[in-house]
Amino acid sequence: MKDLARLNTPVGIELSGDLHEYIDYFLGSYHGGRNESYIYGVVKGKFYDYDLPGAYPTAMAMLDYPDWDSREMLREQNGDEFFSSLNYDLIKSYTALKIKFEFPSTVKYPNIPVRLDFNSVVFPLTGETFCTGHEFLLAMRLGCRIKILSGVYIPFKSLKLKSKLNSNSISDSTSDSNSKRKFFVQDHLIKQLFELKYSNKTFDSVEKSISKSENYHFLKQALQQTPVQEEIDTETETETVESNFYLVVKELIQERVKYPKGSYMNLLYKFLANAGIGQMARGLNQKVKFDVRSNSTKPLPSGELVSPLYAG
Amino acid sequence: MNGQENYKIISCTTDGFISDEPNIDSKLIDSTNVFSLLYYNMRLKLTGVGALLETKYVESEGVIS
Repeated sequence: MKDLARLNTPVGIELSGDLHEYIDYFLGSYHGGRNESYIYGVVKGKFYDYDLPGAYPTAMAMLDYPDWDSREMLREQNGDEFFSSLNYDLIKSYTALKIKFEFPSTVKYPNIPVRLDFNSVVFPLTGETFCTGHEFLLAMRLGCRIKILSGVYIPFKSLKLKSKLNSNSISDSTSDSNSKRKFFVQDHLIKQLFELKYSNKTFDSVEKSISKSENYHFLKQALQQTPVQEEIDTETETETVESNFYLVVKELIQERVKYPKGSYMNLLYKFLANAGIGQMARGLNQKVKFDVRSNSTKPLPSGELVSPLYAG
Repeated sequence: MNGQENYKIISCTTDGFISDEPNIDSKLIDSTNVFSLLYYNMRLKLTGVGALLETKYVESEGVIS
């Protein structure tokens, strides 16, 4: 999306097909990164700084091309109804929602972003806002009551292919050692786990029961084994369901580890992997940046890789 | 870890947070949280090493701004 500003013009709207009907949902649900402090000033005591390793490239690797032809505009409905209709497929989609929400008062750290003004985003217990499908899922996980006012759902392109592969090859493969199928088994089991947890809604007790189940032990075992992606890619070219996003990130990581940690090339590939997701969001907020050439501030332009679907 | 215990988070970013609860990294590895499993699985596929949270620093005092 090279020129976002021109999209919102009479000509832009007419020439963009029906893009203008749903792009605003994705723009509205893009809130940027989270950065919050709950205490200010001097703190004493032992504190641990936790971090997701490779968070941005890992998140990017989970993206896929949108299946535009299967997109759906969403009507007013309650959150439970919407969730029941899509379940695990919601994870593998670009979904943007306009919602009203209310978390239980016991939730210390609500996850739904609400704009306070041009510069601030807060995460209150109740409110009305735009959010992504993944934020919706986590809020449901925290017991939030949600009313969907409207929205749009666009499934990942690989979803249909993956469903077909699952139905064709998973049912008889959970106990065999064919490494080619392990990835699909893992994904299938995560899906089962997801559906079981969300259908019961008593997460703690369900998690305890799942941890004792056969499937869970198999899943943990499968996850701890050596990845089999190389075999999947080479042996089943026509069955590969990994997106190009995954392949790009994988390649960058493979190149990076060829060089010693801390070396220039190692850091360059790290930078490239981390920069990808930033390029997808560049210019969405029309923020101004200082331009050293002109010695003035200018709006940050968007670029070829910019997409509010991927950025959110 | 579920936001209903006595431990607290004093700040958070998109990809991390600071808390007084120890060993969350190892607790998450053993959890059945679906989002954790998805992340762990993707790190395993990308790098050959499954990973969730890692402890970057441990501090006994500091200033939060």
